[in-house]
Amino acid sequence: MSWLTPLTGVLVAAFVVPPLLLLYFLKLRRVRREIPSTMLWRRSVEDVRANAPFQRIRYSVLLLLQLLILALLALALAQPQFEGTGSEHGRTVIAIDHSASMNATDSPDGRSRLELAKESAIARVQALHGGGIFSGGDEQIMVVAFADGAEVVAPFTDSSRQAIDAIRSVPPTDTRTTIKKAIELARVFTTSTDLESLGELGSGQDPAVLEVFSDGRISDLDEVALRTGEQIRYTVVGSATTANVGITQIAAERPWNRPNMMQVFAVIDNHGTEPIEVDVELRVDGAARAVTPQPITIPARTEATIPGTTLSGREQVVFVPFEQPRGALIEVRLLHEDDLVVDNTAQLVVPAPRALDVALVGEDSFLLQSLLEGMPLESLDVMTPAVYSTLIDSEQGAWDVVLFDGWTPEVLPRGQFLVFGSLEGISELAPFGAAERAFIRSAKDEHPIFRYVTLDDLFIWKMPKVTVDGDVEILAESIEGPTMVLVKRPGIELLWVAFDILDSTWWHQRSFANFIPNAIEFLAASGGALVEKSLLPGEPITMSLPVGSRSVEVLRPDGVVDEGFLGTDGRFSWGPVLQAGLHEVSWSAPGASKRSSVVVAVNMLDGLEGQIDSADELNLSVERITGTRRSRSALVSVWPWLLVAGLLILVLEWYVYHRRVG
Amino acid sequence: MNSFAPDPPKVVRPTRVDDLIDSRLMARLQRLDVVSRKIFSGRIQGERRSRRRGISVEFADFRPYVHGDDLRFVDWNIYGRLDRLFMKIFLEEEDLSVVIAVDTSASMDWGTPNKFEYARRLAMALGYIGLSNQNRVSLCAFGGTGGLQRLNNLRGRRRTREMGQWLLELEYGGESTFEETMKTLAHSRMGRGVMIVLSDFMFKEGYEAGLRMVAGRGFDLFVSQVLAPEELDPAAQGMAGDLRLVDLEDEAETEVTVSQKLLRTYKDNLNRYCGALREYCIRRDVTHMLVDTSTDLDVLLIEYFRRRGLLR
Repeated sequence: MSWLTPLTGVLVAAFVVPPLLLLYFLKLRRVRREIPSTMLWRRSVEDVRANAPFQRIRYSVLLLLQLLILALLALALAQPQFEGTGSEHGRTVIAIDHSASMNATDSPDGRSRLELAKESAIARVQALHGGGIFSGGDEQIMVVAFADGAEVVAPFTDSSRQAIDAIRSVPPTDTRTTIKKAIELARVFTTSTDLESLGELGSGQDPAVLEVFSDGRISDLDEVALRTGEQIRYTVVGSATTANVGITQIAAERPWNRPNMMQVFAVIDNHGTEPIEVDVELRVDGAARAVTPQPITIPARTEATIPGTTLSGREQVVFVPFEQPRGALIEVRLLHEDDLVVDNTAQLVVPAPRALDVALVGEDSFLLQSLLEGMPLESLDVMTPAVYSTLIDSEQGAWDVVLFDGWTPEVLPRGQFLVFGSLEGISELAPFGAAERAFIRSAKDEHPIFRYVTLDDLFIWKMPKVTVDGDVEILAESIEGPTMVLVKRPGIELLWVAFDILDSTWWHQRSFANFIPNAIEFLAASGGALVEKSLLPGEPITMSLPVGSRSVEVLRPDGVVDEGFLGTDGRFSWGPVLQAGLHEVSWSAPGASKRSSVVVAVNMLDGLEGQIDSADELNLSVERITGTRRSRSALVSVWPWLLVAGLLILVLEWYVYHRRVG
Repeated sequence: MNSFAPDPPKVVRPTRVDDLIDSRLMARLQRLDVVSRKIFSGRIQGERRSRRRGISVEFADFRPYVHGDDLRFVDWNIYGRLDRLFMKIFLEEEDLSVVIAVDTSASMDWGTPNKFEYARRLAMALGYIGLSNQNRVSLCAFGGTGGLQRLNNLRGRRRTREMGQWLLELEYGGESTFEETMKTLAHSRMGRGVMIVLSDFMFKEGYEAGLRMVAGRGFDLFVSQVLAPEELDPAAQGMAGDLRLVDLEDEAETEVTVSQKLLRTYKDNLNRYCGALREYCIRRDVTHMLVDTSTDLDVLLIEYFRRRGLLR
């Protein structure tokens, strides 16, 4: 049991009880009565006093009742609470998970996990900070909201009202969950950098206790390690048995030989422990186009080889190609109700078909040239590096994709590039030697560039060894290091293949013939040539607008209009995107009478977020934090009951008094 | 309503002699007489060889003549018939003195019914009985504001009104002077008789010295302790709360918080006090009678006093 305001209770008791006793001992309420003789009464009083010195207090029911009332009042003012577990350090960081999985509505009353987490956090703040009729305590509380990133919603404050308001203001998002940034953020605020404040012992302030309110589905737990003295308390929100089915991938493409046709692919994951059947609907521009003729049976999740991890059951859906000569909004929808709605729908914006403009830069690239010439391109420009260097400024943006074979410019212009065997100008890749006789050890087979591509038979005679840094994605890795890497910079997307084609066995394999069109289409799609890019929540919207555009606005799915950042070079950025759904970016182009607009689809295609059965433990890299499903802040205030009891006894005292006097 | 109430009832004072004793009670009292146990136990001639002569005309018995007897009381008629001397024995006719002492101190002027008024009516009734039986009735009042007040030697029913008027005009409300009064009465005793003391005997200086003055000095003493119902059982009369009790005589104050324990202790002390008075009286051949003012006067005189031997 804890006391919110013990001093108040003690003071009241000290100031009220003695006067009551004085009222009795000072005889302030005596009534004068004349009697024939006080002789016998005086003797009787003396007898009573002599025989029982404490009898008067012991048998005065009124005094006892009044003392009881005062004691209850004093207790009530001390505000006793049960089950209080306050911080021993005086500083607490309340970290609230507001990722996509926290939007699951698996509580009995239909409220989302985020709402429950907020409720628990508010109760916890009240417990730490004084939730009674008086404020009290010197607990410093900071509120952090974390999902794809982390944000300080309220810095350290001793105001419970400010902390509670901050908790209430945490918005829901559809992003994935990472906690590393939240911990680092908390460390920034809790670590003293003032050398003078470190004191003689040099220990500085104690680290704050981090209280995490989450469902435990956090992607980077294995990257988190606690420092000495750091402490995490984990309050589990949500059910541990909640099943969920969600779309984890969506793709739409036009067959190369039938550009007016469109084919839609989707991957559906079952995160539950039971197989499930779902109908999948394809909608085009808001109208239903097709539904799977029979329900798709998605297998249950299975235990993975790594203990404690699972593999979701997965099924792919391919819709029959349909004619779509114009651009369209493609939507795949699961006709299934579960507790997480956001992953039951995925959307794509597909522009009207058009052929690609491709450039090939290199010396004697006959293999690549012959492959490209076999593709239905709008144009293919083959040139040497010297020629390209002269055109690099004037023709920037003229090609959808540029292939560099054994050469890259020192400074890459904006655009999409496929690079073979060159590291020039790619600062994200640092060479540290050469490797010989390498083969592919692992590859992201689900990536679009590897459709109908197998790397099992690929043998590499010679390739550079590199380390990667920055925003890169390793798509294939050999025993000697990264072999195929996707590098992303603002305005630039570059697919790097480590080796020269002729230094491998790939050039005569069919998978190479499939890889080139895949890579070109992927890069072109990333650039918006084939399919508008579908973003994940947490990513920013970036696009190039005509120079001189103004008043750029983003219409969010919830109807709110935001303004983004527009650079002088026409580069627009806004984000990160927090909600899944369609975002419409509109702008006023110079000289145009009407506002132009483009729609960006944002899909929550995260398998980990879709796995919404809450985790009872946080398995950090070293520590294992066991959560509690009961809110630590479930404190029961006793003072209202004490007041009620006091009132009842007051009524009883009134009754006894009038019975005695009346 | 009683005397413990915040607003006690007002005492109705008698203004006429008829208020003290009504004709109905007078008719019933005419049949009663005051009895002196000592007189009857010691005045029968022949029972004790007393030198006092019986001078009444009331014949009592015969006894054989012994040497030295007064020849005037020989029954010569029997001597003529039987040729033996027999003495005629006569009852001595006593001139019975009845002294009624009434406590008029302030402590008596309290209670419902009022103790002083009750004692005044009782004195009137007892005096009337004495007058009706040709006893020499004397009254005295002590403890009043006027000091000792006396009315001596009344005889005959025609003095009833005088006695009543004296009782009506009694001054009351002072401090008790029991010992001094009894001393005065003992020194001014005129013949043997009966003394009846009407008081609550709540004397802070004690009753022993006063009673010692009159007990065994020729008085057949009757002590009538007059107490109000509020004194006998204060709990039943609604005494409660935190009180500052003020003594009517000396204004002494005692603060009490009435509780069951205190009330029990008070009753124990009252019983012990009355018991001590009773025991003191018994040891000195004094009759003690506890009188509750709530008792009807008829019942008190005709039943209670007769049973205790004061009246017959």
